[in-house]
Amino acid sequence: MGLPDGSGDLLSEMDGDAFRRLFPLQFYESHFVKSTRPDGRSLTEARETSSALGAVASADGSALVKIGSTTMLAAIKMEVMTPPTESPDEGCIAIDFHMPPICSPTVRPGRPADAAPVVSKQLSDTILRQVNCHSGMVNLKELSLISGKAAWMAYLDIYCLDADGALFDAALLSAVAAFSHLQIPVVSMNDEGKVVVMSEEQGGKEAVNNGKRKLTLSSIPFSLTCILHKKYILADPTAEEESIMETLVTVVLDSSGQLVSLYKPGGPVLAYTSVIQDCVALTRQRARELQAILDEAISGMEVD
Amino acid sequence: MAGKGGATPSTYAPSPTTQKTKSLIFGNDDVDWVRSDGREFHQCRPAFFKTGAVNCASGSAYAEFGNTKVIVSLFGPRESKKAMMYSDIGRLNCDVSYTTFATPVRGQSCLGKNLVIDPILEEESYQDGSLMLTCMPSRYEVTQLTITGEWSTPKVNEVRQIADLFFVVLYQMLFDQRTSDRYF
Repeated sequence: MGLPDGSGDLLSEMDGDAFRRLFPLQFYESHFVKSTRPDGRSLTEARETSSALGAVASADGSALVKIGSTTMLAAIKMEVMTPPTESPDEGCIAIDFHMPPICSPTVRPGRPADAAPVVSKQLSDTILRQVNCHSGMVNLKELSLISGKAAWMAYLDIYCLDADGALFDAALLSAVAAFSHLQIPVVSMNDEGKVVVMSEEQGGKEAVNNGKRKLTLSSIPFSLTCILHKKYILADPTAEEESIMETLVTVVLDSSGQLVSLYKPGGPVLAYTSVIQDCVALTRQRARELQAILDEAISGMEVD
Repeated sequence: MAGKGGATPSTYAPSPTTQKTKSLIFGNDDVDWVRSDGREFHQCRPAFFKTGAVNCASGSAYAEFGNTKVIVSLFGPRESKKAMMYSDIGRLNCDVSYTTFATPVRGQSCLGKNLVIDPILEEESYQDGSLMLTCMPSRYEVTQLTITGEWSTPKVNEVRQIADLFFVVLYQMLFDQRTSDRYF
């Protein structure tokens, strides 16, 4: 009705699914003008998020996190190492992010996913950020067992089980949740000088790390990824949205609201100061939501 | 990636060596030991199935036998780039991987004089032999049979009888899951 060109008539006659596939950008924009998105969310609304702790029985700490369909499984295994001479009373954290072929049609067996090393590096930069052992999330000194002799190496592995956008946000949340679930095993030194887990019948030996089963997590990082498209800011994009509109901004704030990192890897849209401020404000709001979800998961564990 | 610069130092798991605990699990008498999770020899762990586990896949499922958890995704069908000429046969490309924190458990095993089915990893490490049987219950066909170690004919027959019962139950669970999916 009254559309200026022939293609408009074609569009109005086409059914929704075909329109979405053939003209994805127009399809999305037709929703944006009504301040909504195809999945029913408002532009700045994140998807439903859940976190379950202790999903992996064979690990010392683990968490399964879902943001919409995006699913991350994080687990921590504690091993013992001899600390390096330059930091004799500090442990270590090794972080790896994996995208197995089950998570997305774009990942093929035998070929590593392009996104995996990028997310892995971003996670390491965020979690291992250490300024004089104070402002990071984990104090590496708490991972020390016997100064100069033995310290914990925490292997944190995060697996993407379903890749539907905002991978870094979900991976970071799962990492934080796994650290809050972590129970450090009680260990003792055996006769050969090796650190072993204390078993019940081993009463005579003295534990090396009595009463230090939980890490103190300070300034927990939370993140939100937004898409910039024309004048719109879309929070927590799906994989489809990420593939159609390419400008992403990821903001990481810590629990006191300070900026940890700001990541805008190029893209056709340039961000003005006001847009960055809006992204930070959205992240601040999202960080409060995520903190509540995490607190709920932790208190749920304590009841059990 | 290590937390500090330089190469990742060598590390070891602080778990006690498993050999020491063998006698504790099985006792001195081969016949009278109890499985560490309290199951009978011929009892399977609780199983759970769910289809539609991965949203972006064309088909997917999640399965759980006790603590053993598996996700399967299916993608495609896609055009084969390797095919040089027309063929009316498709290809199924399988890829299996473990997480670094997983401990794999598979198959059925025989331990001492007794048959133990659906072993946990601890039990698998002390097995004398193992037998894995895969079959399609709807067609009553065996599609795969793997035997390692020492097996007598009566023992193999015993497994076949147990497996027959077991498959009927699993098949029913899978069928129920598929029918219930249809209504959601």
